[in-house]
This record gives sequence, structure tokens and C-alpha cells, in this order.
Amino acid sequence: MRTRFTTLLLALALSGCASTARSRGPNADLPRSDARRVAVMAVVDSALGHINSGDLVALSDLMLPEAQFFPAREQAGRGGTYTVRTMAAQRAAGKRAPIIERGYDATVRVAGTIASVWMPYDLWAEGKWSHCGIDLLTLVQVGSTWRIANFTYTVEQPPACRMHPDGVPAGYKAPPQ
Amino acid sequence: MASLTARTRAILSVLTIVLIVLAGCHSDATNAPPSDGRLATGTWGGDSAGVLVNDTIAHVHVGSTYGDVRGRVPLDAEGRFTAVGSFLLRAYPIAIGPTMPTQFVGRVPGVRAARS
Repeated sequence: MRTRFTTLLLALALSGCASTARSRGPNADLPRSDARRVAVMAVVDSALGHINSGDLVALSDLMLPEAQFFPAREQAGRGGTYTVRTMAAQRAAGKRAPIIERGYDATVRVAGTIASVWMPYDLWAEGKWSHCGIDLLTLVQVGSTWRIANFTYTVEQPPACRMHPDGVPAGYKAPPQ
Repeated sequence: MASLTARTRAILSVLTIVLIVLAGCHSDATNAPPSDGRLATGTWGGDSAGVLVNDTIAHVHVGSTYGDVRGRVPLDAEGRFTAVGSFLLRAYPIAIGPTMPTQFVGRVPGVRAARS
């Protein structure tokens, strides 16, 4: 059987990063064209992909061994609360049912070998709206590889947060107003 | 489904003429990454694409799409590579398959593969 291939051209220009690093301060939200932003977001997007497919082992492969998840939420009468999941616990969970988590409008900052990503998201599970919030990730560059060191996220409802700009996913019910 | 496939192929054919310039993100990026004759392990980014390379796979992100090449990608003496893998056109925010066979072609300027 004849196999058709699509060819994707990639040129690895290994001198581009230093010039962009020099031209922007560490407090700047990096533009989408910035090489460091693209590298960091490749890791974050991969993490979302594994979260969505329910492959928590693959997700943990993107994390430092010491990394932690911090789900944070407000509970009536208690104010802010949080729980902690270690990378090892995440890995031990193995697989779970797929969900849809959609991040958008990420703010990315990089200084040297650390990066932060502040990204609104919404989450749909079991065929319906679940919640929305902010994903706040800290990444550390180890050698030439970016890894997630911390994944803190809020769990909220509109109007504190909002749905992804793409709207309701196909086959899902709109959230109650 | 046939029309979707045709549309997908049409879009991918556009991708074939796009030159994606990736840039290394070492803290001292004026130095090319060490090469053992293969695409260096690490996380690399550029104007519109990022690549996560480890010992078993190269995971390529291009906008809201991604692709995978199994194994380490060999470089020729001029730092060029050609690798066969798979590509998912609609990966984000919601992955919609299937993946398609893809050939990744590129070059790492400034890197010359070690020849014994």
C-alpha cells in the first residue's frame, strides 16, 4: 500500500534565543513568537494533552521528581483551602477517564532557567461543565529541558472565571446560568 | 469523512512550505547544543514551533497541532535531518484524530554531527 507523507520543514536556529533574551526584561509577558515562550508552552500544552487523555504517567514525565500539584479553592465558611499531590502520587494514579481542559491567553514570563505560566482554563467532564479557573505553573530548566516544578490551580465558577473563547465543546451541555 | 480527509491534506500541504525556525533556549544560546550525531535532547522553541526531545521520542508542537517521531532523530554531517512520524492536525484545545503519517525535514544550523 502506498503511504502518503506530509513533509514538515524544521530549521533549528540555535542562535536566536540569546538575542530575544537580551531584548526583553524578565517581567515581560513574552510574545507568541518568542522562542523561549514556545519552548515553555510546548511543555504546558503537552501537560494539558496528557491531562485531557487521562495519562497521568505521561503527565508526570513532564514534571520534576519533587514537583507538586496544589488545587486551591474557596470553601463556604472556611475561606481559601488547598490540597497537595506529589509527582509520585500523580504517577501512581496511572490512568483515568478523559476530560476536556482548555487553556487560553497564557501569560508567560521567563528569566534564566525559570518560567511562570498564568493561564485561564475551563474544564468539562462526564459530558458537562465542571469548573474554570487559573492554572499557574512554575517551570525549571534542567540542562536543556523544561520541567514543571509546581502546578497550582484555582477551582471556581463564573463570573470569577469564564469559559474558553471557543464556547461549549461539541457534544457537551452548556453550564447552568 | 472523505471531505475531511481531503481538507486535512490540503491544510497539511500548506504546512509543507512553511519554514519553522526553532531556536535553542540554553541560557547561553549562542552555543549550539552538544550533538552526538542526533537531534539534541531538551526542550527547543522558535517562532511557531517547539520540540520536546528525549531518548525515545521527539514531540513537535506547531501552533495548535503536534507530531511525534519515535526514537532519536539522526543528523547528517551538515546538521540536517529527515524523520518519519505522525502528526495530529487538530490537537488543541481539544484533540481530534486521527494522526497522519508525516515526514519531518529540517536542519540545525551551527551543528555538525560528530563523525567517527
